[in-house]
Amino acid sequence: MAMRKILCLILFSLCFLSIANALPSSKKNFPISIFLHSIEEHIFANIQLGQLITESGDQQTLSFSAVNYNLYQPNQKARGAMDYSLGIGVYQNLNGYLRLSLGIALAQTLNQSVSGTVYQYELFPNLKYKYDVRNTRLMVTTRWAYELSANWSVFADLDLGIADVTAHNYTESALIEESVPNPPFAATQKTGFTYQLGLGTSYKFHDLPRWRWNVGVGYLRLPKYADLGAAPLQTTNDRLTLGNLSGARLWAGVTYYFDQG
Amino acid sequence: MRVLRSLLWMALFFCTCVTMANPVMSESRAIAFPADIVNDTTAISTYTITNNTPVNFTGVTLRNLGGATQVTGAGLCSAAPFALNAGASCVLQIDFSATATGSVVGGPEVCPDSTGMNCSQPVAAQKIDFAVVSSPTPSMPTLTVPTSLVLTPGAAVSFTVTNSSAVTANNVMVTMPAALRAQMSSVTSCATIAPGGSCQISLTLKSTETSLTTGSVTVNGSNTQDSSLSLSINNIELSTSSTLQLVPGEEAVLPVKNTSSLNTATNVTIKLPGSMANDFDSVGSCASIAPGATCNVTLTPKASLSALEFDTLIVGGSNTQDTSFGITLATVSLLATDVGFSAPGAQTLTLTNQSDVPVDVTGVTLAGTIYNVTVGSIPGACTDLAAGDSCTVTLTAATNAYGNGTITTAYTTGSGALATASSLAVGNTSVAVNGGVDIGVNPTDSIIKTITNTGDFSWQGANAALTSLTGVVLDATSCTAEALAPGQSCNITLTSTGATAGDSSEVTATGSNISSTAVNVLVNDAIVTTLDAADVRLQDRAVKIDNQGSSNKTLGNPLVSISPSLTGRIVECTNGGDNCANKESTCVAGTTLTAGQSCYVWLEAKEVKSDSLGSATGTVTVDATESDSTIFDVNYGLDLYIATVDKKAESQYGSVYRWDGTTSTGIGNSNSNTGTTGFYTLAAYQGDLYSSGRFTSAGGVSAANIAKWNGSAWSALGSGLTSGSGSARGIAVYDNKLVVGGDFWVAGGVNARLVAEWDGSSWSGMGSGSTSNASVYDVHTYNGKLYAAGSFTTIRDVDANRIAEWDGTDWTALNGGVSSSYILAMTTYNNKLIVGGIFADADGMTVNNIAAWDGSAWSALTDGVNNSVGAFAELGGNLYVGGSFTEASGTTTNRLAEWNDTKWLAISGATFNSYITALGSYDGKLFAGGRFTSPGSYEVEWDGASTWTALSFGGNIANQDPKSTLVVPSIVSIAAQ
Repeated sequence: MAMRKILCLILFSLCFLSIANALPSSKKNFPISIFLHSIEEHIFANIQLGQLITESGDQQTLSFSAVNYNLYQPNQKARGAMDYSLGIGVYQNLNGYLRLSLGIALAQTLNQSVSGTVYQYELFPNLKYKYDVRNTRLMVTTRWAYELSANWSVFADLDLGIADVTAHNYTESALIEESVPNPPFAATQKTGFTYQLGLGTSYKFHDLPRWRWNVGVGYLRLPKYADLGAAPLQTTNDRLTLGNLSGARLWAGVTYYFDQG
Repeated sequence: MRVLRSLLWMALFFCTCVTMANPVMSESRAIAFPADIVNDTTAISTYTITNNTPVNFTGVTLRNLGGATQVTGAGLCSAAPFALNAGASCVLQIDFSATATGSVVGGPEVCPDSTGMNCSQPVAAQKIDFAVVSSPTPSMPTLTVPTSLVLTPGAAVSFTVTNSSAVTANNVMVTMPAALRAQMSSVTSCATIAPGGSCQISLTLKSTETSLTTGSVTVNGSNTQDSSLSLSINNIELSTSSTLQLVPGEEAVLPVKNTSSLNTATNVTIKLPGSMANDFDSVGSCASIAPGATCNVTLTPKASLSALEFDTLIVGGSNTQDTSFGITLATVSLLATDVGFSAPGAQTLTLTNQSDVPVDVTGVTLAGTIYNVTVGSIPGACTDLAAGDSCTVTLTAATNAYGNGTITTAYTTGSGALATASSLAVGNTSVAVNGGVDIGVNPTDSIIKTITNTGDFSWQGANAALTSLTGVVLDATSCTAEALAPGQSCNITLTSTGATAGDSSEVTATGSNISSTAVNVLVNDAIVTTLDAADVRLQDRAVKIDNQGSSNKTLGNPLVSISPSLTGRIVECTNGGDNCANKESTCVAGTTLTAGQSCYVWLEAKEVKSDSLGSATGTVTVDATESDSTIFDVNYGLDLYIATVDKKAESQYGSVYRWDGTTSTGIGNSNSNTGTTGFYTLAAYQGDLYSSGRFTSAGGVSAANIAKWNGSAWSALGSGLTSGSGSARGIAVYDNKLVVGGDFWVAGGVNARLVAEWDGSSWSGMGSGSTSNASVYDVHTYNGKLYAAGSFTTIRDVDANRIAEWDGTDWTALNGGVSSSYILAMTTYNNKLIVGGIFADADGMTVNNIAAWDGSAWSALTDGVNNSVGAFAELGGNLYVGGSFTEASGTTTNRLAEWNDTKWLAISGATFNSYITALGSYDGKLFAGGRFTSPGSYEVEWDGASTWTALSFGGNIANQDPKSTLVVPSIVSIAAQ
């Protein structure tokens, strides 16, 4: 389901760009056409690798029936996972110092492993639990870059899009031989609005004028309260909730400008 | 509900912080299913189930029962789902009805409800685990037997068979092959063995057997299972030495021989009694010993082993007979002697091996409070030191050694490290404080005392302390050295800042290595001992003892102590010696010196005429009172005084010089005197130096032809010698008077023609006659008489040719005297009066310028000399004669010749090219002065052998003739300590 949404978004973006480019010259007076009229000379592509650091969620007590409940205690407050992004777009120099870039990007955070201890009846630390969370994002990206010198520039990013968040692979293991691991919680998938704000700086070597090497830091907001599904025979609707997926994103990358930037 | 749960959780988890792993419901099995369930039978199992949670369960469910079914009833859990309140328990019984064979494993699991969440199960050991079998296993008794048995040829060897089953075992025996059975002479068996019972079965191997045909047999009964028993043969004998000597801590080796010719002995070791197991560090073994071979089995007794519980041990192997051997324990002891040092140097540490075995001395170390004692190298004799032998190690104490400690001698008998201890002590040194101590009440008084290290070791931590004494301060700064070497001294100063007479205390010398030495300190009325003048280079010194206090004092007895080094050089003037006239000590030992009274102690530096008494240093101690002594350091020397005259009687002036062997010093600016021609004579009289000659002043002081030098200034002797020419060419001390002779007529205003005498305060003439002619050139004492000689023929109305004798009252001629024209000099040699001058005959006998008078007659010195004689000196028992002559009895002598009372001798290197006017012996050398320029100019010194040295008079007397010399013993320096 999520992949279908992402593919639709990509197709939508490509159609938008094609239509814009195919407009008659008279129609290119529209702002979008003005921006894209020389798209062939202002294309860029970039790749980013980084780390997404999000919260692991708080301890949580779930009831499975009127007489059956457990406390789930995460092992750590925050967790990190590798995050990457592939993007392509166009840019326009607004004056000698300011550059505006517009593009689309496909990003993904690899599986983040969440683990912790199950306190049966909030008393007995008899089990350990573990599950994975990953997200995939399709973003429309904008970047305002300001040239500090011939080599250095700083930039600000604003990206908007949709994200698919999946929690799955829940397992338990017994810490004492008398305890029987519980049936797993069901995997869940959630799609929703996402955005990212970021700041960074880039550097261009004289010998590599088409390449700009970037580092940045940003704030990524993902759909809230991703969780797992209920256990098979659970009579309540308590779910193990991941918590707020938003977090800091640190990244480094490179942008290639096809017209030598 | 959730709120309550949260509160409970918080109470249990956060507040108590105690979270223990515990199953939600625990299952404790009471009855287990049998391991095997026969098909078509039923078995039961029970578990006690407990609800460990704080929640009341209403529908506990069961699962994974492995085919069993829950049984309900009284005392059992209700049929599932059943209620089980918090903390409650019930007994779960499950039945299994076997309907088919197979294994069942797992469960039962209990869950709080039907969700399947938080289910529990038994621990693994209590889970359902059984097998369904088709029929029961037949029961056969099991026999317990040893796994192995060692057979000894010819001997019955038994083993025990135990029936550990619940069924009686029948006909229990050893089943063996026929060949093995044939090797046995007898084998027993057991008819029955009751359940849990035992029985002995005996096997006897024939004595001729040396090996077994089979190594394993079976033990069984007619209704039992088989049990295996391995057999081996013990027919091997070992031999070893009869006695093994053990050295504590050292590995001993026991050679063990396998005397068998057929079989290899295995696992041979020494079998220690259990009670001796802790006596040894290790016991070796031989895994195998081939037939006829020998192997060494080691045994290492502990180093602490001091006695043996048994005197024999056993060695044996797993297939051998045991062999005993004796053991003895060697004594290990090394005796080290104590070492003490009473003086620096080396001492011997003797090490005696009292052990039964040789030892190696590996090292000697010192410990404790011991300093500057070193250990010499370990000699080779201390290695492999045989029992009863001794060796020595040298310990050396330096001068600054002190303290006590221990000597640790390390040794070994081979592998262990042993040590023995002995003591080490460095003796104390000793100190001495000179005399008792009195300190005056005068607030400014201070007294210095000397503390001397009289011992052999350095005085470590030298110091001195004054026991509290009001008004007296001790300054021991110079005695606070870290160490004071033997023989060294330091001074302490006691200063009165208002002490009270009669108070007393003590000064204590302290240190690390002395016994405290204390002397009394007495605050007394002041008695001051002072020297009359400091460092005056004349013969006599006066020490004044002045009782400045208010009480009478008793002078010390003895009053004066002179150190041995000054014996014969310094004397106290108490007996009226020649130079002590009018200067005898007024202080009498042991008498009372009343308050305000003072007295003098006179010291005389003894007159010498040769170098028989040389220079020396020492002390003179004056004990003013028994408790107040003053020590004077004295440096006693000999000075050569030289009187000179102007060579040409022109613009230069004569002078008196002192030569101390190194430098010359003009005496009292004697050469700056207007109208002075020069000084002819020198004499020491009453501690002063007198010189006569031809001058009108000395050192700026008017003096007519004679003056006195007291060490610091010249002075006149009354009005001196006047009339005639006034000059005085001879001087001598006779009858405690100073006698001068010359060309004067008046002395001190009295008629004293040619000769006069001075008693220290006034002049007088010598003889009653008034007629004398010509001049006297020399006066001299000989045999208690005074002789005057010169150019006269009449002296005091007595006719005498150029020489006359004065007996204190009258003048007498010496027979015919000498012919014309002069006698210039006289001396005493070999109890004869030797005269020299310019004359040919003596009493009509040709003598040629020199002659001898023995008190009654004249004699010649062989043929005499060919020209004038003007000076004599005695050195080394020989008479040296100087003048203008160039031959002595035909021997070329160049103005200086030696007379040995038999003949004349030339002197090596005496190349004088002009006349000699003065000679003197001084400090083993001969001094010569004159107008010569060879072998040196004007003043030369001869060492008595062949070396002539020009003296460094700095040209002072280059234009002056040395006229006479005088060796004056002097206290070169004297000062209170």
